[in-house]
Amino acid sequence: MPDDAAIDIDLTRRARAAHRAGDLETAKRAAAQLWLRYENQAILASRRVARGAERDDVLGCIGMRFIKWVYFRNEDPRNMVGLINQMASYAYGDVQRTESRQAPTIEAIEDTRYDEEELDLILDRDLLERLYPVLNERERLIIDRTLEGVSDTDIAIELEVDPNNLHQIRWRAHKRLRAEAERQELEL
Amino acid sequence: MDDREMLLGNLLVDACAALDARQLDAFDAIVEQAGDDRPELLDMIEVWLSLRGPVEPNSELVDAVAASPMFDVRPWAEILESARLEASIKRPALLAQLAERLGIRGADAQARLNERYHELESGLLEPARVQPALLDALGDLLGGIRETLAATRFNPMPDLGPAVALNRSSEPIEHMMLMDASMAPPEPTTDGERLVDDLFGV
Repeated sequence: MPDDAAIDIDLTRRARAAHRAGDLETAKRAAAQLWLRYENQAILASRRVARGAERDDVLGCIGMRFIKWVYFRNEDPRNMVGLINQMASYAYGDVQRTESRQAPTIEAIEDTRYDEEELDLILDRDLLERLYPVLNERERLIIDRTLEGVSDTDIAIELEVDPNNLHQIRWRAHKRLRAEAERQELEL
Repeated sequence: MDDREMLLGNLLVDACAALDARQLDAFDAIVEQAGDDRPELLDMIEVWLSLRGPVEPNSELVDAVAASPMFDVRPWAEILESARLEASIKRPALLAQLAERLGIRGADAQARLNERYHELESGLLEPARVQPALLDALGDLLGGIRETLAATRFNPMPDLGPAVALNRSSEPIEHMMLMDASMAPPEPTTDGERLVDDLFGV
């Protein structure tokens, strides 16, 4: 089964090839599939950089930057989440400039340099594997079962815990993972 | 485990469920409930999304999203003209409604509005700097296409062929001329003209 990066690269290349060939329906479909794989991250990124009425404007600008990146750039995606996070920071600037009547030019958007070397390490799946040792056996089991798509009710039964407690244990596991990721990032 | 951690744990579950259901309003409301712990809740959601990895959308959702304004690659000129024709609105009627909606009064301002709109619908003026008031008005008057206009304002400009370079006004055919730099409207001299230019981001 291909890994996530291979799927992203394949979708990106298909979208670009179809766009160049004028097959817009195929291009849109491939681009939409790629977008939907990371839409939740884009929503989250927009909420990190903006609040109130601006957050949906930022999300819209991330979408614009995403489409332009897919259709008009040449590089393969190596880390889509990192890329979207960078787009979010630029998108917030887009919204600010529009509000101050200084909208960016098309060139400013298309020529934006997204540096995929500077990525949030928490988003690296390989690193996540390395974070697992900070979890105890029960926490790891909860994370594993959840990723396997097992319902919270069934996980709670398996662990013989109250469903409400399950949420708390999982939350603590997330918190510990995040702290460990930040610690490892600082050491690099 | 204290009350705060219990609250955040529950909010995390609810927020992730709202995201998966694509219910943005519900998601925002849940995140705001975290109060000062909002950044921490966002961190936890991020970790959760990273752990789970990308979602595989079903084909119906892909089709629906591909047809959304975000993926519309047409230039504004084409979008405006096709929406106007679809709504069976002739340009003078649209301009009259625009003027009323935007509070544009006086012959000089009306003439400026006609010129600027012609530039916009002909692909001679970049829509990137069009102001929200004009965006809202055009979106409403042209059949509820505001979202499309907002999502496509950075799309590439169209190639200028004879069809778009000709001034399609009610002027007699012998008065039509190619629009070029020398035909650009002069600097605004009245408040009305300045108001129109501001709306078009000129």
